[in-house]
Order: sequence, then C-alpha cells, then structure tokens
Amino acid sequence: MSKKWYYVLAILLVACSWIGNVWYYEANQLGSTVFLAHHVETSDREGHVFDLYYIEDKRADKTLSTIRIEGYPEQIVTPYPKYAEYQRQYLGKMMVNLNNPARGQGVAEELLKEPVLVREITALYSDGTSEQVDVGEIYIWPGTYNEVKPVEWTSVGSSSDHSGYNSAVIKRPLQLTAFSSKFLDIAEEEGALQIYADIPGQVLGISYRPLPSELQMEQSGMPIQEIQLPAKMNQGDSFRISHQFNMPSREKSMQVYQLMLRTTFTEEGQGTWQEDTIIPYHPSPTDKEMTAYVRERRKGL
Amino acid sequence: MRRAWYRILWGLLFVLIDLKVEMVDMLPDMLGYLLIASGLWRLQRLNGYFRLGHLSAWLLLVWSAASLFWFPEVAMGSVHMQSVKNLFILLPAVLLHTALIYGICRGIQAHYTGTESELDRKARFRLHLFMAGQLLLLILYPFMLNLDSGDMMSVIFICSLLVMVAEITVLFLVRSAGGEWNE
Repeated sequence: MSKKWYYVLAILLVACSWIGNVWYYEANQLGSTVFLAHHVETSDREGHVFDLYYIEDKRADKTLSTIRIEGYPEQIVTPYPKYAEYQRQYLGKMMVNLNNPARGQGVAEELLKEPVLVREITALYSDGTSEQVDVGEIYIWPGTYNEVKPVEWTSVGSSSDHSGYNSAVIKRPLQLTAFSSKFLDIAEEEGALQIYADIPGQVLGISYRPLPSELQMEQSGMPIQEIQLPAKMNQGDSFRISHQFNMPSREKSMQVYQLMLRTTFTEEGQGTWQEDTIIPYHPSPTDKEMTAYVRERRKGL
Repeated sequence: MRRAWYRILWGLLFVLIDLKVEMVDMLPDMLGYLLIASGLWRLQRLNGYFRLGHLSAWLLLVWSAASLFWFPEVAMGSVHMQSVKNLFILLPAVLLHTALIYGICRGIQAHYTGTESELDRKARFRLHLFMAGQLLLLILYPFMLNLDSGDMMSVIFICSLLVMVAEITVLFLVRSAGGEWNE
C-alpha cells in the first residue's frame, strides 16, 4: 500500500509540474507577431526615418523578417528584431526610410496640404509567408527642402522620461503664424502630451535670463495652445520647442507616437516657410507591463 | 544466455555515451536500443519486468529512428528545451527510458531474490537512485519554460549528472548479473 502511495505521489508531482508550467507558459505567449498601434507623422524624404514597433514571442516558430509600405519603391527598411528583450518576448522595431528624393520649392501646393495616410503594411515572415497588417495611422508628408531657411536649428535633446527639446536661432526677421500636427488632439484633449514653445516677447526668452537647470529647460516657455499668434521674431532671437509625454493609461503607454510639429513662419516679401520638429514617443515597458500587455492581447483575441 | 547480458551492457553503454565526430554519433542510440532489445528478448521469459524492459527497448528503437527523420534536431541532441513542442517531443523518450531501466533493475531484483548473491539488494538500491534522479528531472524539465534558462540549465545539469551516475551503477549491475549467470 505504501509503495503504491509513493508512485501515485510521484506521478502527481510530475503531472502537476508539467500541466502547471505548460499552462503558465501558454498563458504568457502572444502566439503571433503583434504590431503596436502607431500614430506617426513623417516625411518621405530620403534620410527621414521612423520606427514601427512589434512584439514577438521568443520561441515563435514564425518571425517577422521585414516589412514593406506600398508606393515607395526606394524604401530602406532596417530590422532590429531584438530591440529590447523581455522574459518571454522581444520588442522589435523596423526602422523605415521611405527614401523619396526631396522636392524643391516648386512642389505643388495641394501636395503640401494633405499627407498620404497609410494604415496597413505588408509584413513578410521568416517562413516565406506575408500578410497585410494594421499598424495604426502613418501620415506621410512629401519631403521638401529649402536652401535659404530663415531658421537654423542649433541643438536637440531627449530624455528617457519621454521629454525632449529642439532649439533654433532666427536668421531673418519673421512672424510665427501657426503650429500644426495631425496628432495635436492628444495634447489638447487627453493631456498625454505637453508641448511648450519659448518665444521672445511671449515669455521671458532664454537669451534674457540665466540658464535654468536641465530639467527646467526641458519644459521652458508656454504651452503652444496659449501662445498668441502671430508672434513677431527678430534676427538673432532664440526659439525653443520642448515636450513631455505623460501617458495616462497602460493602453496609451503601449502605443507609438511621432508627431511632426509643423511651425509656419511668414517672412515679409518672401512668403511662408515651414519647419518640422519631430516629437517622438516609443514604449519602453517593464517586464511586468509587457506580461500584462500580452495577457490583455490574449483576452482580446 | 550470458551473451544476452553483455548485449544489454553494450547497448546501455551506446545509449549512455554520445561520441560525436562532426555531429555524427559514433555510438548511435538506435544500435544501443537494438542490442538491449535483443538481450532482453532472451531474458523476457524469466519474469514480467524483463518483458516490460524488452517492450520499452523496442519502442525506444522506433522512437530513435522516427525522430531521426521527423525531428532531426532531437536526434542530433541540439534541441532547445524552452518550447512546449520540444519538451513534448522528448517526454516519450524519457518515460520509455525510465521504464527500460526499471524493467532491467526490477527484473534482476526479482530473479536474484533468495539467492546468495546480493544482486537483488544492489538492484533495488540502484533503481531507487536512478528513479530519484529521473523523477527530479521529470519535475524540473518543464520549469525550463518559465524560469531563467541559465539558472535552470545548471540545476538540470546537476540532476542529469545524478542520473548518469545511477545509470553507470546499473551498467555494473548488469555486468555482475551476467557474471553470476549460471547456464
């Protein structure tokens, strides 16, 4: 009787270990490649890049090899399949350079008014299969270049807390007339993003006061919604745009944002100029957050 | 009949040792299981434990041949344990191998019970040693899926070492059984 008890106990222990471990393992697997939701504005000009993020199980049989965006034959895609490693998954990214030749000042006016919207891309996998996948919304503006720009960008910085800044110097007198982006609603409605502009005359410009600390510098100026436009700017003035993302929920924090904040200047007798400032946010979840995301995705499937 | 014991001995040796030259196993497991099966075929009339071992040896032979075609990475010994599929591919082989050693040891124990030799006692102790190591391995294998693979590998390595030592003692047991066999 006692010997049989040992055998039953041994079989039970082995069975529990196998069933428990396999169940826990399966509960934490995505099962397929999952692209994060993207809200990206970019330019198709050569040299301009944006990243598409995806998550894959470490032990996936089929992995993403590359992606393709239709309509851009010269595109260059650089894969980073193990951009960040987690216990059971990899966060990968595809760096995309659409690589269209830049258009000069003769670019058609209507082309500059509305960007191309891409929602689906072609994903190509290691087993030779491919599929169309929804990646969110990618607005692609036509790339242009100006040879005699009235604004010169002098420095750029970013921090791991999802903040950053771009500084510029005004080379010729002009007026700042507008800030625009397809995703300004996340700043206005949801409060997930604060964008500040430091413009002489609106607030005490940075050239007129002692330099603040790095943290204060990041958020100097006024929220762009409160700036009175048009704002006059003189030659030699400093101009700074800074931002800070504060995602209100885990769902939001696992989405990818890249705003191309378009600042429009008017120069007397020269027409208008547009300067683009890239404001990026990419998720950097902890292991715990990644596990929670995977489980939520599985529930949603 | 003594030759049957030595076939089992050589068979176990082939299975235990992986002598690879340019990824080719010079002592293939398939040949080992064939030798064990042919040895146990002669012994199976002695008791039911040898019959169990005999059946296990044949099934392991089939599994080794099948895995060579269907799962060559398993046959080459380069399988990664951190996937459910790979774990389940290896599970039948581990269970059958356990049944094989159980059959041999319990067969010897049953056959030599009541004789002057101490083979029954030795067989019992070595079987317990092997079963303890194998049980630990069976419990720990699936943790490879969820725990840090580096830490788990060292734990699995220690358990595998214990099982290997136990199997070497079984080899000596089979040799002694062959030596004491009275035609």
